[in-house]
Amino acid sequence: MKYAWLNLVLQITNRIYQRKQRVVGQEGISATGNVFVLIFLEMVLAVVSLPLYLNLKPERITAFLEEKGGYGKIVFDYNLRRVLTLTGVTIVLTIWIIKLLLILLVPSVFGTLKLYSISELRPPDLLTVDTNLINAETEIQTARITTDLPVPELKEVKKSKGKDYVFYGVGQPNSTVVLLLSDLQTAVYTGETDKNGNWQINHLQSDFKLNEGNHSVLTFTFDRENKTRSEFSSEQYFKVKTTVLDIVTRNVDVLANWSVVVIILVGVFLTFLTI
Amino acid sequence: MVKTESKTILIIEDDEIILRALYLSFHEEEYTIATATDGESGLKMTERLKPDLVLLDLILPKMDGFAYLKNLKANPELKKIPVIVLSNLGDQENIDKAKGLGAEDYFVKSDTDLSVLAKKVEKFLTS
Repeated sequence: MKYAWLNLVLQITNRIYQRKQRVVGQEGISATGNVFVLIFLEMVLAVVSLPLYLNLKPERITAFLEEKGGYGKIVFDYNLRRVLTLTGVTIVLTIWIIKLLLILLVPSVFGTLKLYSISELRPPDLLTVDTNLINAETEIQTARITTDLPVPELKEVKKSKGKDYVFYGVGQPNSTVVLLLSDLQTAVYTGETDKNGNWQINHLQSDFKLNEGNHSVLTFTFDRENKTRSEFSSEQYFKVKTTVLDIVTRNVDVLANWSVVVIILVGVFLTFLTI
Repeated sequence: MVKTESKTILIIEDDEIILRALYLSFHEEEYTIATATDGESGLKMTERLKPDLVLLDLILPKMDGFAYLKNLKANPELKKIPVIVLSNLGDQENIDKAKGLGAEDYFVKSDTDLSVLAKKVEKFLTS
């Protein structure tokens, strides 16, 4: 086991040497590619060789130290700092790669949410839309309800990559759709349909964070010119819940952000020590 | 296992990680390990310590491994010290050159199994 690890260390150092030889005399893209491979190998070596620094007692190694003109104990501070820095950078990169993988590859976290009708839910579960809120919107308040305008339909709700929510639906082409989203307060959103009648409305969690639980959505078409609006659509629900992957993603997110801060601080500190 | 407590190995290697890896490879055998990180100080240490075996890298600062070997073999007091080369240079030309200068054995880092090297070292030190 010990030799397998030490052989690996030896082989990586040799790969680094070979790569350095390739970089010398190269220019342009090929050199850049080799430099990136070189940095990657250095990082791998830093992680793999870290136990060498933790394991080995340097006081047992004697060396001829030119600056002292005699024998003494080797001081490895510079290299230790280098290895620690590279290890830190590697950990940060690993955290960011995990973060990216979670964002890009986990559809259960960022997929389509199921829409419920009211009959599928228990009343205490509901966060219902406060329709009085639309009174706050003067134009909507004064709009006359007409059956001439078709009621827009909410087709699906998707949790997007940035953990925001996107509402998709269809309605009258080239019209304005108003969406009421329930939470502790009711949010009012407006969106425009395209020539095919498709519309899309985004809810940004940065604006306000949707609480865990069932949220109802109501939509209607609004004709600004004629000051008319359609009737409400049937109330539909979707559930916001915290999954294990949500928790992992959130924690990785926090870790990823803090790791950058920590590694920069450690890097600055070690740089000062090395000067 | 043969007890070789009093034997001294001088490792001349400028890469600290390899130096540590080699140190750990022989650590359990309880050899006395001395190290030098360039050819010049390696030669000075050889003169002072008269080690039982030298493990030599070829690409070294100040004095490379070939020059070290030349100097070592030119010194009647030191020329019998066995030298094993452990280098990144794997081409036959360098292998022949090192052996021609008196290296007992030659290991290329990319192909080296350190357990084999440790056995080789033990063999040299017990013969």
